[in-house]
Amino acid sequence: MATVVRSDTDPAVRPRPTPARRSGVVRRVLAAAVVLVLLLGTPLYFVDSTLATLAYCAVFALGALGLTILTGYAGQLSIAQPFFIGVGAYLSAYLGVESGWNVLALTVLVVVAGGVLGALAGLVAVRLSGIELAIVSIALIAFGDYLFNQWKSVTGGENGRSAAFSLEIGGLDLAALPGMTRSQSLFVVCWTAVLLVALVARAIRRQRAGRAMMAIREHERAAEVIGIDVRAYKIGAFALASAIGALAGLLYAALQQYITPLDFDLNTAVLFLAIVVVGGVDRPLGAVLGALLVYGAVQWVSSHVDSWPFDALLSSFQGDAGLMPIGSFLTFFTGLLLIVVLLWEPQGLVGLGARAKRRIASWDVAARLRRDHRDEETS
Amino acid sequence: MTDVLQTLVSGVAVGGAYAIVALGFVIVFSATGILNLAQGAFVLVGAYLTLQLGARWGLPFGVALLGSMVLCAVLAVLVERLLLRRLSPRDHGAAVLLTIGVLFVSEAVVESIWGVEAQRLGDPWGLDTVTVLDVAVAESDLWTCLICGVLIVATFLGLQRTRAGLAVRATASDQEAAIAQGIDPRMVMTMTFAAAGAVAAAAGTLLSTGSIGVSSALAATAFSALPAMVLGGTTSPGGAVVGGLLMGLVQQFTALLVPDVAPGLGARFAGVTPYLVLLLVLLIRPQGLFGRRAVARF
Repeated sequence: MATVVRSDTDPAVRPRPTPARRSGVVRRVLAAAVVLVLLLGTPLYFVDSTLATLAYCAVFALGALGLTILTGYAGQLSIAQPFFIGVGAYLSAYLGVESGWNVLALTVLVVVAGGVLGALAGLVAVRLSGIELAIVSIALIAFGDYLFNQWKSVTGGENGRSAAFSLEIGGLDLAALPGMTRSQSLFVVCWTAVLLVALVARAIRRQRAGRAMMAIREHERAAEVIGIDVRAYKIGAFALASAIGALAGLLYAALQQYITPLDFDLNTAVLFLAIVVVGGVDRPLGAVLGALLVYGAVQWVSSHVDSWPFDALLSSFQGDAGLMPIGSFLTFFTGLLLIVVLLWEPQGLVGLGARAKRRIASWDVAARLRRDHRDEETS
Repeated sequence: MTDVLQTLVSGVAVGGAYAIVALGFVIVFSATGILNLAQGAFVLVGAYLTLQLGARWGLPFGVALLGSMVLCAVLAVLVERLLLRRLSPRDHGAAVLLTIGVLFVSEAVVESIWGVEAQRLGDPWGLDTVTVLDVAVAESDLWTCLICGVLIVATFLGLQRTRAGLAVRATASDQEAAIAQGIDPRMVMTMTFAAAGAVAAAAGTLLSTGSIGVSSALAATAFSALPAMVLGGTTSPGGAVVGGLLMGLVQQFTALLVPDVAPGLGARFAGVTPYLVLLLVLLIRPQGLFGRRAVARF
C-alpha cells in the first residue's frame, strides 16, 4: 500500500467512524439522560443531611462557575467572588425578609445588581494588569468585610441576620416542591441552577465570546490586534461572573436562612480558588467537580472529627487532644490543596481526565496500527 | 496636639513596618515577576519565632529578632526552591495561587503550634513610654521606627552598593540582558526571596511589639501592605517605602479622627482606608506614584 491518496469521499479508504463521529447525537441524549437521572434520582436515594451538603456544593459550584468564565476563559485572576456572593446574599435576605419580595423578582434584581457591580469593578480592572488586579480584588474582600460588619441596619453586623425569606413563585414553593422535603427540593433547585449556568458557560466557551476571552487570556495585545474589543470583553466577563456570584449568594442565603460576614471572608475566597484549581479552571465541569470534592471533603471531615483518624489529628474544643484546632483545618486544607494540585496537575481534575483520555486514545491508535499491519501481512 | 504627635509616631511605626513588607513584595516582584503573598506567612511565622526564641527560650530580644529573620530567610528560600521553582517560570498566576496556599498552610500550622489566642511578645519595651516634647510616646513605636529605618537603609545599600544588589537590579530591568552578562536568574530569585523573608520577619515582630501582641491576625497585615506596594508603583523600591509610610499614617490618623468626625463609620473603618486610598490612586494614576507605565512589546 505504497502511495494511495487517502480521501474521505473515497468509500474504499474512508476512515472507520470514530466513536466521537458516530455518536454526536447519541452521546448528547445519553448525557442529558444521565444528568436528569442524577438530578431527580439523587434526592430519592440520600438522606436529608447529605442532600443539604450537596446543595451547598451546588452553591459553591455556581460561584466557581463565575470564576470559570472570569479567570478560566478571560484569564483575569480575581479573589473577590465572595464579595459578590455576599452582596447577593444580603440583598436577597434584606429585601426578602423585610420587604417580602417575591423570589422571582429577587432573582432578577440580584442578578442585575451583581452584574452592574461587576461591570463597575471591571471598569476599574481594565486599567490594571495581572497582579494589581489580584490586589484590588483582595481590597474588595476587605471592603465587603467592612460593609457587612458595619451597615448594621441592613446586615445585622457581625451577628449576622436572618435570611428566611419565602421561596414561593405563584403558588409553587421552591422549598417544598410537590412530594418532596425541603432538602430534596432545595437540592433540585440549586443543582438545576448549576446545570443551567454550566450550560451557558459551556455555550459561551464554544462561541465567539468565549474564543475572544480565551484569546485575551493567551495574549492581550495580540487579541487587540486581531480586532477583539479587549475592554468590552473584560468588563463583560466581570459582569457575568459577578451576576453568577450574586445568584449563588441568593441560593446560599435561601439554604442557610441565616448569614454572617464570616460567610464571605478571605477564607471563603481562598476556598473558591481551591475549588477552581482542583477541578480545573477553564471548564464548567471543573467548577462542579471541584466544588463537590473540596466542599464535600471539608464537610465530611468536620462531621467525622470525633472518629478515627481525625480524633487524633484535630482538636474540636479547647484542651482536646489533636495536632490542629478544627477551626484551622479549613485554612490548612484549602492551602494544602492549592499547593499540591498546582505542583502536580495545574489543570486540575479536568486536566487529569484529558490526560487520561489522550493516553487511552494513544493505546487505541497503537492497537489500530498493529491491526492494520497484521491485515497487510495476511493479504 | 498631644494626640497628633502620638498618632504621628505610631503612624510612622506602623507605616515603617508596612514599608519593609512592601519592600519585600517589590524586590521579589521586580526581579521575578511573582507576587509573593507568602510574604504574609513570613510576617506571621517571624513574629512567632521571635516569641519562641525570646520569651520561651530566654534569648535576648535582639538575638531572637535576628534569629527569626535568619530562619525566615531560610524558610523563604525553601519555599522558593522546593515549590515555586517547580512551576513554569512564565505562569505567574499559578505562582500567586501557590503562595496563597503557603500562606494558608502556615497560618494553620502556626495556630496549631502556638494557639489561636493573642499572646504578649515579650519585647523589652512593653507598655513603657518616653516623654518627647511633653508628649508621652510609646517606646516600642520609637524603636520600631528606628529598626525599620535601619532595615530600609540596609536594603537600599544592599541594592545599590553590592554586586548581589546590582544583579537583582539588572534582572529587574531586563532579565535576558542580565543573563547575557552572566547573572544567574535563579540565584537572583533565591536572594530576593531570602531578603524578603528576613524583612518580613522583622516587620511581623515589630508589628506585635508593645500593647498589640502576636496573633494569627498578623497574616492579614501583609495584605494591608499590598496597597502600599501598588501605591508606590509595583516595581519601585523607593515607592514602596513612601507608600508604606503613607498608608500607615493614613490608617492611624483615620483611627484617631473617626470617633470624633464620623462615628457612624465605626472602628473598623481605619482598616479599609489603605484600600480606599489605593482605589483612588489607581483611578487617577494606575501605574502608582513612582511606577513607570509599562511598555509591552510583542
